[in-house]
Amino acid sequence: MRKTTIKTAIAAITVASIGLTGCAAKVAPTGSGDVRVVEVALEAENAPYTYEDENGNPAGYEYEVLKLIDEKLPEYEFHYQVVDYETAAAGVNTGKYAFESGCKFRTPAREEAFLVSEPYNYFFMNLVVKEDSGIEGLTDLDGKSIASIVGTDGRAVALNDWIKNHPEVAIDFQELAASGAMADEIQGVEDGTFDAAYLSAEQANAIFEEAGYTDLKITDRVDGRDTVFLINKSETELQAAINGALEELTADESLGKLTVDFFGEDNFKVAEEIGLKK
Amino acid sequence: MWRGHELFLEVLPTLITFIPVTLFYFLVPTVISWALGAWICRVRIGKKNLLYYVVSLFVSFFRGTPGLLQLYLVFFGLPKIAELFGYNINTWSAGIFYIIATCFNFSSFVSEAFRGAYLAMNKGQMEAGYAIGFSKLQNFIYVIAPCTLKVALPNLKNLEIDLLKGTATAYVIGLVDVMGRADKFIALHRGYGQLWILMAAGLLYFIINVAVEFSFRGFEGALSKAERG
Repeated sequence: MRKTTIKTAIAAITVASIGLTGCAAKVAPTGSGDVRVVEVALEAENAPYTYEDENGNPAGYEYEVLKLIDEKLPEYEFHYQVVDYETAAAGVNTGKYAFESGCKFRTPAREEAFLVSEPYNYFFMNLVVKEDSGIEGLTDLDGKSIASIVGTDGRAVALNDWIKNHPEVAIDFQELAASGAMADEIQGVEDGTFDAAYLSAEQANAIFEEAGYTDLKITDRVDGRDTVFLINKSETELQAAINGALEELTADESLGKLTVDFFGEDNFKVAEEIGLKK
Repeated sequence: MWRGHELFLEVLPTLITFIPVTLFYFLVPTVISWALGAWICRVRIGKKNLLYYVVSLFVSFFRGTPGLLQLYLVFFGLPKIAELFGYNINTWSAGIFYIIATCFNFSSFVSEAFRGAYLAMNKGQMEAGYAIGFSKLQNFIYVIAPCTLKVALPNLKNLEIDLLKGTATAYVIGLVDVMGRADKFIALHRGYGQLWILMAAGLLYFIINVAVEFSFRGFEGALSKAERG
């Protein structure tokens, strides 16, 4: 009896390992040879910045930026995996991924945990409010509320920074412990639960299109941040290579043109106008 | 204006095409875990040697910690261990890590279902088998395996249903099955109609589970028929 069960177990494990080696054979050696395969995590829940399209392929503005960078770096070959946002951050920390792309703002906590790249885009926040509310900007929100955002979202960090720098404006804003949907933030404004939602015009417009709200409006931009790649602490060479490529792509306005395609305006020029871009 | 139900109808056909993926990540761990579970069970009912204690610790750990945590441990930890031996397994697809983590977890539970059933078996049956001249192998095939399986089946059915539902956690490491596709679809629509999309996925899981339940009932019926027959 004993031998049979052991044999069965061994057979099962062998079958499994054949499957494994089959996959391992595809792996290119890293750290040696001419081209190094770099694992890149793309966040799944971040359309139109990073997401997976209907056919299961990576897509979005940041994916297009990464392809441009990859073209500039013959010594690296980017290999993409679209994963949950928490998996992406944990994976970069452990070194499973060399870096992640997910529309990340530069925050003190992130700068401590990761190496960050130069900016590859600028993200502007607008308010979604009721059309007749008379709210045009954050200063109009004294004594009013903004829909909750998960604490690890850069928007929450940016908003809290603004609130801290403007003690004269008392805004009721609570962080969430788990990631909620942006559509729910806007629905909260529609319901009257909150006075405003704080997100980009592009995101708000996409949700308006889905839901067909008629009594809501998007204000002018109220704040902005640059977005960066979060790179594993040990990847200083890769960081330098990415930054070099980004510098060229910014200088020849490739990135600016790409933002026009995706967002309708040159985010780099806007950032310069409002003093966000150094 | 609210068109959540349209999303439900839109996403359902797509999600149906991902049922084979979910079934794959259900059936492959099942087959491996039943074999591995049988071996673990064999060790745990045997002599209390070093292997016994190692295997018992393994079972205790994988039954006593959350499945999602184990998935993360394998997904992030295994490449670290492989790195020590000079292998880079970071490019392995998420599915392989899911299967490894799930087999560790599931075989622990299966082994306990087998062990409980083995202990409940009337040992007179085994002696009867030897008495009529069965070899060890024959005794296992004709006596121990059917008797143990019959007792273990209701337990295994519950475990299999849990395993099937557990595949829904695999999307966090990027595996695209029914739940993974639903998650990506939600992202594509910026979270709009999330509940309707999740309901479509829920409906499919329910239907698959009903099928699993009926298969087990059929299996149980066949087994008792064979016993009578």
